[in-house]
This record gives sequence, C-alpha cells and structure tokens, in this order.
Amino acid sequence: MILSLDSIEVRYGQAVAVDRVSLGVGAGKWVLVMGPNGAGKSSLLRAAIGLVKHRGRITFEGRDLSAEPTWIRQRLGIGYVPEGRQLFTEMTVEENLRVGGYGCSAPALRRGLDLAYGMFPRLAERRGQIASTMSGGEQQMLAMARALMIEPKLLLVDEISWGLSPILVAQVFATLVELHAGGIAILQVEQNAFEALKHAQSALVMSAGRLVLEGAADEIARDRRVVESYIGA
Amino acid sequence: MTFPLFLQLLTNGLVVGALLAIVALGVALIFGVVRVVNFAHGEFVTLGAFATYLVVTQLNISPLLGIPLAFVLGAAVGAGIQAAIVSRAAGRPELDVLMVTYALSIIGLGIFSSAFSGDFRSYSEGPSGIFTLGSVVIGLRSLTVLLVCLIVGVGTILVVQRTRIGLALRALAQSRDSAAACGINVPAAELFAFALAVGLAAAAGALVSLIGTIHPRVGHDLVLDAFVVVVLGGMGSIGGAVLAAIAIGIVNAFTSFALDDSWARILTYCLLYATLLLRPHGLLGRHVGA
Repeated sequence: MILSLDSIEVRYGQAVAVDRVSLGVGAGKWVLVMGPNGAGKSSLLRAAIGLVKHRGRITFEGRDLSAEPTWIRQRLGIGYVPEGRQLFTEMTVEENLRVGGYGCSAPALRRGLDLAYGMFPRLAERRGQIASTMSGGEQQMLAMARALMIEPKLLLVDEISWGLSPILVAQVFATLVELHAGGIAILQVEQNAFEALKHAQSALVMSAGRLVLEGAADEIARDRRVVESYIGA
Repeated sequence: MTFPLFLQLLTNGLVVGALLAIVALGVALIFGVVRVVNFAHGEFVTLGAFATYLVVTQLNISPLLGIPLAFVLGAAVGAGIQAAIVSRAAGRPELDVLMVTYALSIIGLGIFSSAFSGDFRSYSEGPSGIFTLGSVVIGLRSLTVLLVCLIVGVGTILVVQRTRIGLALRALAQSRDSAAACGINVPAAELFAFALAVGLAAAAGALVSLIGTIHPRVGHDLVLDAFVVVVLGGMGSIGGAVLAAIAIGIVNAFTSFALDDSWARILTYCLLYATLLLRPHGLLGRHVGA
C-alpha cells in the first residue's frame, strides 16, 4: 500500500463528517470513493492531505503522516486536486504552476513546467493569462497540472468533473487514465461515478460518514443498490 | 491659491503620503497574508522612532544609519511577536485575534509612556538645510524621507511580485489551503510577512523621527490613517494602498492648510465613506472569498 488510512475520523464541532473510515491505495492503483453529497468523501480526502484535523493513522510509503502538516505531505509526493479547483485566481497560469512546484529545486521546477506544458499544450499557449479569465475546462487542466508539478506518486482528486460539460469530463478522465498508465496511484472522490467506475480498480461507497460498501470496481458497478442510489439509470 | 503654493502643498502631501504608504504596506501585508488586523502596528512605528532617537542621541549614530537599524530591530521584534503570540491565536475566533493585537497596542503604549514620559522629543543630527526647486522649498530631511520611502516601497513591492518568497505570500493571500497543498510552509511564510511588515513600520518610525517630533503616541496617530488607506485601497491590495496613501497625504496637506487638522481628519473619513459607497471593495480591491 502506498497510502493507508486507518480509522480516520473527522469532526466539525459536534458533527461527525467521517466516521472511522479505513482504506488502502496500492502503488499505481486507482481507488474510487463514491457516495451522495455530504457523505464525507471530501472530508476524507482533506484529512489525507492534512487540511482538516483528524483522528486515526495515515501512512504514506510506510511513513506515519498523521502529525505532519499539509506542506510536508505534499512534498513527500502527494498531489491534491481540490473540489472547485481552488486556483490562485489572480495569478497567471505559469505562476500557478510555479506555486505548485514551490518545494522543487530549480531543475525540478523546469522539468515540471516542461511536463505540464507538454501534457496540456493549451496551458503553454496561455502561460501569461490570469487564471480566473480561463474557461472551466482550462481551469481544471491547470488545477491538475499544478498538482503534478512535484511529479507525485499519489494524486488525490476531488470531484474533478465538477461544472464541466460531458466532452470536457471525457478529456479530464483521459488525462487521469494517461497519468495512471504512467504509474501514478489515484484516490478519487466522485459523486458522478459512472465514468470513474470504468477506470478504477476498486471502489468504496460512503454514506453519512461511514464506509458502507467496498469491492472491485466492476463488481460495485454491477451492484443493483449502488446503481440505483449513486450512479443513476 | 497661487501655483507655487499649490506645488508646495503637493510636495508636503507627497512626503506624508509616502510615509503613510510604507506603514499601510505593512498593514496590508499582515492582513492579506496572516489574516490579522494588526492594531499594534502603530506601536511598531513608535518603536522605530524611539530606537532611532536613542541611537542618535545616546550613541551619536547618524539617523540615516538608524533607518536600517530600525528595520532590523522591527523585523526581529515582529518575528518574535508572531511566533510567540499572534500565531498562537490562529484558528481562534476573529474577535479573539483582534483582542490580542489590541492588547499588544495598549501594552506598547504603556511601555513607551512609562519609559519616555509624554514629552515631545526631536534631534537636530542628520541631514539639514533646504533645497529649492523653482519656487518649491523642500527640506533636505523631507527629501530624504521621500527617497527612502521610494526605495523601501519599490523594494517591498519587488519582493512581493518578483521573488520566490513573494510568490508564497501572494499564494497564501489568495488561498490558504491551496498554498499549503502546494508545499508552502504556511507558518514560515506568515512569520516572514509579519517580520517584514513590522520592519517596514519601524523604518517608517525612524523616518518620522527625522522630520517631526516624537512622543509615545506618534505611531498610534499615524496608523489610524494607515488603516483608512488600507480600506480605501482595497483590503490586502498593495497597489491600492500605495495609491490611497498618496491621495490621503495630499488631501490632508491641502485641507490642513485651507482649514485645519481636525477638518483634514473629517474629510479623510468622508473620502473613505464616499469611496466605499461607490466601490465597496476599495480602489483596487476585488471581492475576496473565504
């Protein structure tokens, strides 16, 4: 396992958002967490990157990250593509990427930029453009490229199809497939799970903060309860 | 009003505006990056003023050397206060943090008042004489202030806009979570911002001691205008703060001449009110989300 979450609990005041959830992501594997709005999926990812206080143990490549701040977790090789993209909207495309590679040495930063522009030629054309003036699809590309600057071993992806047209969703998934083929492990949270189930190896279903179902993605995709509740006919 | 008088008032306003800009830059930096309204900022100006006064009168050091000394002292004190006090209040309700900086301000005022009494002090060391440019008379001290403010202001803006640490500060100001998830050591960046801002305040204090009389409330009075400037320019907007500072400085100079100081203050707040009616996020401000 490259990432192990062991009995993770997240509370906001009295409310329990994530209730003792455990899961593992194998090296190079693609794991999908699905479930309705408010199930605690995003909180689980935010706990993994350290943006919310949590109980339970998080290990990454055998190292206990539970007490490490977010920036250390990122520099160890965890990329995070947040829900709603959360770009630095007043910065240019290139500045966003430079922040993404903030912890990189100068040559690594150069390599990261080359990789990002190679993967997303559209961003190369727009490197001087202010992020907030780009289309939703371009902004999502930028959010992914920013997370890839450190050449992460694991990518945390939160509601990546948020606000995108079906064509753009297909493009974004094509990018994830390419990254996965290149050896990056993916832990994806997605409400709209139909597309994601085609690519993931395993899937988990969360409801009201708890893990209610887990299994191989193709099995989950055939489960009638799941289809009715979370995928839609 | 004659043209030479107009130019003279404009010049005087520019000197005050430049000082105000340096103080306001620090307030904007702390608000934008650390998300704290630093009520104690004026006391750091006073710290720089008294520190310069002491090195000039006790150690016979040139006040020009006092400016970088004040900056370094301010940065060190600022770093200490951020690390030991302000950062510990982080994550608590906003009002708690406000009370912390307000308390620092009151403590600072108390320390200066008991150490230096309420006397007005000044010194005559350093650049002296006047400089005439056509019909405009400008003291060499005022000219020094203007030049130093220009260098310090441009330097600060370059640090924010062009350096790696500046990139981190801007990222932090726009999205804290994203900055952390991009590998930015948030507490370290906040420490840098606070230290830089307090260093600027203390350097401004050194300049204040050069052109005026100093007393325990000297920074406190100046910082009221600096807060107006920061709101006027758009909270956290550095360009807006500089623009607003110079505007307020010039408006003050003209109103003080035509009416008096209290009218200058009234007009300042009217200007703030009118600007916020027309541009709720300030001159160059944009709406900033959580």
